[in-house]
Amino acid sequence: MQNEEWLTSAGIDIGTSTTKCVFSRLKIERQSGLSSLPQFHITERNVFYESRMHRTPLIGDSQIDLGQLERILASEYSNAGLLPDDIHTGAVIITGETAFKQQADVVLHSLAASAGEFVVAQAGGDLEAVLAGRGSGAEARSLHVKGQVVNVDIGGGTANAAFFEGGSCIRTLNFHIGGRLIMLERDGSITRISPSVLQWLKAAGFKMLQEGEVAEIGRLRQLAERWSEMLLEGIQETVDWSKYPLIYGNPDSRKVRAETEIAEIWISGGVGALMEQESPPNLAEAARFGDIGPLLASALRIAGIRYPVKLQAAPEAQRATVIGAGVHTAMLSGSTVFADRMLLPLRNLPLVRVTWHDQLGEELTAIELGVKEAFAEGKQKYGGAGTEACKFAVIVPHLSVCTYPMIRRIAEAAAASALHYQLEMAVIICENDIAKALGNCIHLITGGNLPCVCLDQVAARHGDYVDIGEPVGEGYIPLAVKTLVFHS
Amino acid sequence: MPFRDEDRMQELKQATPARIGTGRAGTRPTTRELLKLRYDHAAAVDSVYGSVSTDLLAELGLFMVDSGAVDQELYLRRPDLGRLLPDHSIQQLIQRCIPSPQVQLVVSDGLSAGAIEHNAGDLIPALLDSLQVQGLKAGTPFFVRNGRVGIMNTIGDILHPETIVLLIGERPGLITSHSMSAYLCYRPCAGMTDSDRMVISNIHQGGTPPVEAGAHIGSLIARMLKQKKSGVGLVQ
Repeated sequence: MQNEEWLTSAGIDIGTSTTKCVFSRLKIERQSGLSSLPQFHITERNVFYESRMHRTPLIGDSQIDLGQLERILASEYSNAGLLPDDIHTGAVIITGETAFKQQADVVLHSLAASAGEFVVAQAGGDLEAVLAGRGSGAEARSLHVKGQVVNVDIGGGTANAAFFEGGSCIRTLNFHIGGRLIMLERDGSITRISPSVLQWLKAAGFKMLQEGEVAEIGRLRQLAERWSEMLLEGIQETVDWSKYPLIYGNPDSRKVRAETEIAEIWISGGVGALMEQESPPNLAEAARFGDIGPLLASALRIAGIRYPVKLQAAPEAQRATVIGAGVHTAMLSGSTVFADRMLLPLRNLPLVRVTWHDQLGEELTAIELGVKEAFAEGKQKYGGAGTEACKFAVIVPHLSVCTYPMIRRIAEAAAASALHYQLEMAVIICENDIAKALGNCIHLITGGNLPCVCLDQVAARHGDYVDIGEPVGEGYIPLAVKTLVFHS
Repeated sequence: MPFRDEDRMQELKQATPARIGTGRAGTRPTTRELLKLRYDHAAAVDSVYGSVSTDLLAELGLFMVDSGAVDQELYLRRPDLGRLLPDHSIQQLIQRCIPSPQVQLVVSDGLSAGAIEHNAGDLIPALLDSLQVQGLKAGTPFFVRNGRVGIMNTIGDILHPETIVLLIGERPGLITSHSMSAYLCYRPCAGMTDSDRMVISNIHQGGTPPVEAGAHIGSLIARMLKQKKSGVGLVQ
């Protein structure tokens, strides 16, 4: 291939209140010298089209109107001058409340024909938080700041916080806090309260807020203040989580204790975008979007004034998540890989990481044992029920020295495990640059009877999920690593 | 002025094997750094004057022939002789090698026997796997003592392979003395120059990984055979 190529990437964010899309071009460049193994990297990510904000089309309370959604996207594609086939990679993410996310597969299926094939279908709270933080610019900002930059993306249904340090996310936290959890008319009558906060409202002394009742602006202001306090206290890691029933998300991520302090807090999402505006003077103004978003934004801005840490709206507040999804999800694997093309694309593969047995060091027996245990764990956890195939990918962690006998042993262990568990394929992601050699080895050991994909130089963790796209040209395979799925 | 940001310095040091941020004692290097430099220099010299063990050659199934430079002093003084094969070597090749193979593998110590000792054992089996996966056939591999890159042409005129791979020890440096290069050429013969060849260099455990280099070379050879060319003309 040429030393430079451009891919077109689409991002679609379907949120509780708004739907938007962006199109961007990703520049793929060969960054290795002619006497090295080829290495392609994404060196530029340029957004060239941003849609306007559409109200998410709904049937009833929370059912996405697929026909209307397709029409919205079709008009945006045509405005951007794109056909679905022009899209090489991209992500649709459905954010917000649980009921919403459960429609992810249906939405993806319905969009495949009219919008293109996408790598990411559903995002978990973790991934949403990270994507928003990338799209808002908080991740990049953390490279230039001593301490952590926290991006809190507050949309209609949820608030997702991602903590960045030195350019990478160290933990995430999710809250059932959002502008559209309570919906009201301009006269203050409450039309809907989301089930995710019903109980909390009662317990926290907001009994008066009920569907059908007319709310006072003072009471709503108190609620917004209470939520912004909870957010700002909640992101401090010293708090007792049990006192914060509105916090949810990946429990492992909560255990992370950083050594550094929080330096800056950025607010993105629809609520972030409203923070720059004046506080609403009356109920009619406060309810101008039919929800309490403006009140929440105003409460946060006021809380930020006395808060000891710099708190501000993110520069790309409203489109942070969609920019994160459309521009920052695609990664490339190492460029010397092995892939049986007919297996690709692969979606939603859970990752199982090999654990090396320390007492055995990096000896061949330790390697064999570690690989076999990972396959056993994969089979046990993701065995597949009935006709559903057992699909997972194994991560082979870094080896300080990687010799041919080691690769041979990894291949033998993988082939033996795949045969033993009657797997339809072996998908292996190596941290060392060894994927092509390993794939060749597995192919020869199994006589080509075990379809196999071996990729390398991808940073991924145990429990993450990965989408592997079809190879573009001959050189590289786009993929997306998704952090832990949504925990309701 | 000393560099005060210790974390940043560590990042920079991790990004390169070069000797940076080593400190000083007065106007001179520290004793530790000076000793390390002399140690690395000695290792480089050892690599040039070392030889590849017969055990390794046996393990890799390679027989040995001499280049035109019969001893090491002559080899260092006369690069031209390292590109030639004396009559007795030519006879050996004709007797022992399959003529006109699809892929001819040749290994040579070049300027670093240590490079072959450390890397050939990992690269060669990965290369053979890669050739097998692509359905390509290798000829009879052998080892040339005191060879130079240009010997590919000489071998080409004797065995007439479609493609040739030469694994050769690189001139040792102070970072590593065990770095190997792989030179590839389509239909090597007298008159071929560097622009007709491809090279994968810096092959060692801290650089281009030997096993992955082997796997990649197999694909490059397949591409050379398909396009019937090598060097700058090959579309990669």
